[in-house]
Formats: sequence, C-alpha cells, structure tokens
Amino acid sequence: MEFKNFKDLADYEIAKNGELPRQVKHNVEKNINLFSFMGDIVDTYLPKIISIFVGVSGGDMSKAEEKINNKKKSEKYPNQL
Amino acid sequence: MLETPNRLKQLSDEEVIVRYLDSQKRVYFNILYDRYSNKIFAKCISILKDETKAVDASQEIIIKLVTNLSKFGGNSKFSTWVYSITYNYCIDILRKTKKEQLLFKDESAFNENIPEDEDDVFLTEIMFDRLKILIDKLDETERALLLMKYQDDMMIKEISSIMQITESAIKMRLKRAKDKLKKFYTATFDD
Repeated sequence: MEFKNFKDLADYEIAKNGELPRQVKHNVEKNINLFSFMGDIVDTYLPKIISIFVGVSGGDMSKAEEKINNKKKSEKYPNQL
Repeated sequence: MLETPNRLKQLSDEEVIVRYLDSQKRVYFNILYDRYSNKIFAKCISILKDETKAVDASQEIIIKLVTNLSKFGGNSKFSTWVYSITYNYCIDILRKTKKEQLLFKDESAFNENIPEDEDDVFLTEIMFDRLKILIDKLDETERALLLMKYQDDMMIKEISSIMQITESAIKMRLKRAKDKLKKFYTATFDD
C-alpha cells in the first residue's frame, strides 16, 4: 500500500524546517576529529604501556609488542575527517 | 583517484560509506551530511516539537552515525538505519523527559492477533493537507509510531526494538493511534 501522503508530509517538514544551523556541522567535525585524535593517542601509547606491564610482571616485552603491532595492522583505523 | 562532482552525486549511500571508511576523506562525509542532515533535523522536530532540542539531538545523532558507520552492516537500507538511530535517540529523550512512564510500559498482555494493516486504506485516503493537521494532534509517541510505520516503512520488529516494547504492544499502539486519528478526522472534517 502506498502512503504518498506520509511521504509528502516528510518533504513538507524538511522544506518547512529548513537547514540545520551551520554550527552543527562544525561541531560534528570537531567531535569526530577529537575522537580520531584520541584514537591516535591510544594507538601510539597503548602498546608501550602494555609492554611495560608485561615487562614489570616478568614477561617477554618484545613478543608482547609484536603481538600488539600485528593486531594493529589488521584493524581498520577509526573514523577520521 | 579523484572523482568528479557529478560522479560523486551519483554514488549510492553504501558506495559513499565504503569510500569514507577506506579513505577517511571529508568529501565523502560531506555527501552523507548533505543527504541526511536536514532529514534528521526535520524528523527530530516532528517528534520533539522543540527546535532547540531538535538541533542538539540532530548534532548528537550525526556524531553517533559517523562514529558507528563501520557497524552499518548493509542488512537494511542506509536510510532505514539512519532513521532507526534518529527515532531511538528522540524516543530516549522523550522517555527521560516524560513523567508519564505509562507511555512506555510493556503491553504484552494485549491481544496478539491485532491485524497490522487495519484502517490502512483510511490512512492512504487522508489528504496531505489534512494529515499534517491531524498528526499534530497526536502525542509524541503515537506520532513517532505512525511516522516509523508509514513514512519510513519500518517493520513492526524494527519499531519494537526502537521502542523497547513487544511487537504485539506496538500493534496495539498503532491501532490506538489510527483510531485516534480517525476520531480527530471525524471531529475536525465533518464531510
């Protein structure tokens, strides 16, 4: 069954309410870049922190680092603008 | 490889998403933003009926969409996924602000055999000008329900997971919303 009147209502609402304020796009981009930056930090320092823990607890640091690096390579990068 | 603006416009949502996830280029984000931001905004206003809240909600929804883009499995249309997140977010706001929690209580005890498409013929026959008056007379939840079902063609199962109530409760609520709309119609347009 075709609900053309409901689809027309959607078009009407979009036309009536106009565009989202420009500031919103700016805020969204800022937020996404922040998430991406935090992702970079975690990517850079997490392996080092883990390998320090492994070293302190008496494990083989190089093996742990290698494992983390291999995992990192296979993962997709978080969203970034 | 650089794509021409015309070619970019022709890309499907799914193609844009793949390109965005692969390259993280702003141009692909812009396409998705241009295609959906105003639709999300309009939907937020029509549910929340408050422009300031709708702007804030739209911003949060778009951030949520972009950061979860890799989770879009392609099982449904991208627009359906976008609107599910939009409804979900708005319903959550309503849930937090509404004191009347009864609106969201589980009504699983209701009759399971409510026909989903009862009164649908009546709905298709309401003139657009009249529909926009009538739909505003319904409360937020009822309005959201009807929009999910008849504007965005969502399945009862999808609506049920957004509203977090059983499928039979959704059918019951839809029936009530349609009955109410019918009543308003008779009271407002006596022809």
